[in-house]
Amino acid sequence: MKTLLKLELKKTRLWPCILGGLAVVAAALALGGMFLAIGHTSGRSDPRLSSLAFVLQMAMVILLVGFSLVAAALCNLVFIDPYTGRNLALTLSCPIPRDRILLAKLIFVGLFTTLSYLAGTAITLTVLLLVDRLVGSLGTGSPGSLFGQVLLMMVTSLAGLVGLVGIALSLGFWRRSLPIMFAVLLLLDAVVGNLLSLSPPLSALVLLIIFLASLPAWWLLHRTLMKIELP
Amino acid sequence: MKVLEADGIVQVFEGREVLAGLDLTLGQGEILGLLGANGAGKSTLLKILSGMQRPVSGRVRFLGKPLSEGYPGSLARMGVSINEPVFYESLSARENLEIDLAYLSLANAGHRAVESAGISQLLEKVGLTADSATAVGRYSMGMRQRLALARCMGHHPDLYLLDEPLNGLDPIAIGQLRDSLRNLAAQGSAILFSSHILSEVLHTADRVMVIAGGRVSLRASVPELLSKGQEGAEQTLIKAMEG
Repeated sequence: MKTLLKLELKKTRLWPCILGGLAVVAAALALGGMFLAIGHTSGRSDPRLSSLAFVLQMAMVILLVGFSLVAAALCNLVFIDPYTGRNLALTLSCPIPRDRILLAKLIFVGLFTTLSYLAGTAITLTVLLLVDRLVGSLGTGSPGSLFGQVLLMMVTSLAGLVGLVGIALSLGFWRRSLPIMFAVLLLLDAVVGNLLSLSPPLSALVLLIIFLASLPAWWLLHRTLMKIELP
Repeated sequence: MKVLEADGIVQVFEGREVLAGLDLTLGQGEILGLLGANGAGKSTLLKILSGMQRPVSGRVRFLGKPLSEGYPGSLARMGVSINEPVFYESLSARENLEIDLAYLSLANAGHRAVESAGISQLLEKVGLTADSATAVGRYSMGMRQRLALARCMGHHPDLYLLDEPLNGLDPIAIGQLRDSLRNLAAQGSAILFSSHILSEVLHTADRVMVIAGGRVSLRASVPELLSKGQEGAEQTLIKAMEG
C-alpha cells in the first residue's frame, strides 16, 4: 500500500491543491478577523457577535467550505480524470487489482485532505486566538468548553467534508462532469454553511447527517469504478 | 504453446453487433497482423483480448487460463497499447516508465523481476534518450508511439497487443519497429497488431486475419498471400476488408 500511495503522489499534480489550501486559510483568517473586529465594536444588535466561540465557529465554517472545494479538486485529479475519456485506458491497463488501487486513491485523498484541513484549522485558530488576546479578549466562557466546542466542530467538520465531497463526486462522476460536481458542491456548501451558524451541537448534527447521507453515494461510486471498462 | 485463444467472441454496442462470434489463436513467437476497415471491430477485439472490455459472449484464454479470472493481474504479462497511447502528460518519459514498472513490480511478484535500471536501455532502444526528461505532453504522435512500445517492452511480456502501432511513425521508425517486433517474436513473445498499412503487415506478420462486418473474412499465412506477389496479396486483403 505504501508503494501505491507513493505512486499516487507521483502521478498527481498536488501544487494547485496546496495553493488552494493556502488560499482557504487566508480567506478564513481574513473573514475570521473581520468577525473579531465586529465583536470589538460597540452597538451590536446580535450579542452572539461578542463571543469568541462564534468567531471561531465562523472561521471553521469558512475552512470547511473552502477545504471541501480543495478536496473536490483533488478528487477530480484522482478519480474523475483517470476514469474518464482517453485516460481510462491508462488506468485500466494497471495490473493491480482495482480494489487496491481504489483504496490507495481513497487513502491518498483522505490523508491529504485531513492533514491540510487540520493544519489549516490549527493555523487559523491559533492566529485568531493570538489576535484576540492582543486586542483584548472577547472570550466569555471557560477555555475548556471553548476547546471542547472546537474539537467537536473539527471532528464533525472532517465527517462533513467526507460527506459533502462524496455526494458531489458521485453525482459529478455519474454525469462524467466536473461542472456538475462543483455546482452540487457549491449548492451543498451554501446550504450547510448557513446551517452551521446554528449552535455547535446542531451544526455537528447537520454534519453527521451529511456524512451518513454520503455513504450510499460513496458505495455507488466504488461499485461503478470496480465495474468500469473501456468503451 | 498457445499464448492466446479466443472462442466465439460476440460484442454488441447499442444494438449493433460489432463482433459476431470471432475465433482466434496465437502461439509463442507468432506475429499476427489484424486488418479491417475503420469500424470493423479491430480495437474492440484488442480491448476484449486485453481484458479491459467484457464481451457479450465468448471466452478468452491467456496462457491456458480464462482471462476473466486472471484480469487485471494478467496485464503484467501483456504489453498493451490500445487506441492512441495515453500517458501522464505532465511527467517525463522516464517518470512514466518508472511508474509503469513500479506497478508491474508490484503485480509481478514471483514472475519476472522488472529492473528499473533498464529504463535507460528501453529509452535508447526506441530512440527517446535525448527527450527522456521532456514532459510527454509535448511529444509528437511518433514519439508517443515509440514510448508506448517502450512501455510494452519494459517487462518482457508473453503477449503484445498493439493497436495501430505504426500510426504517426516515419519510414525509418517503421523499419525499426518492424525489426523490434521480429526480435521480440524470436525471443518467444506472441504479437497481435492491427494496422492499415498492408505492405507493412505483409512484411512483419507471419499470419494475417481480416475482419469485416464483425466476422473473420480471411485468415492466411503471409507466405501463402505473397505467393501471388505483393500486389496480388494486397488485392486479396482489400477484397477481404470489403467483406
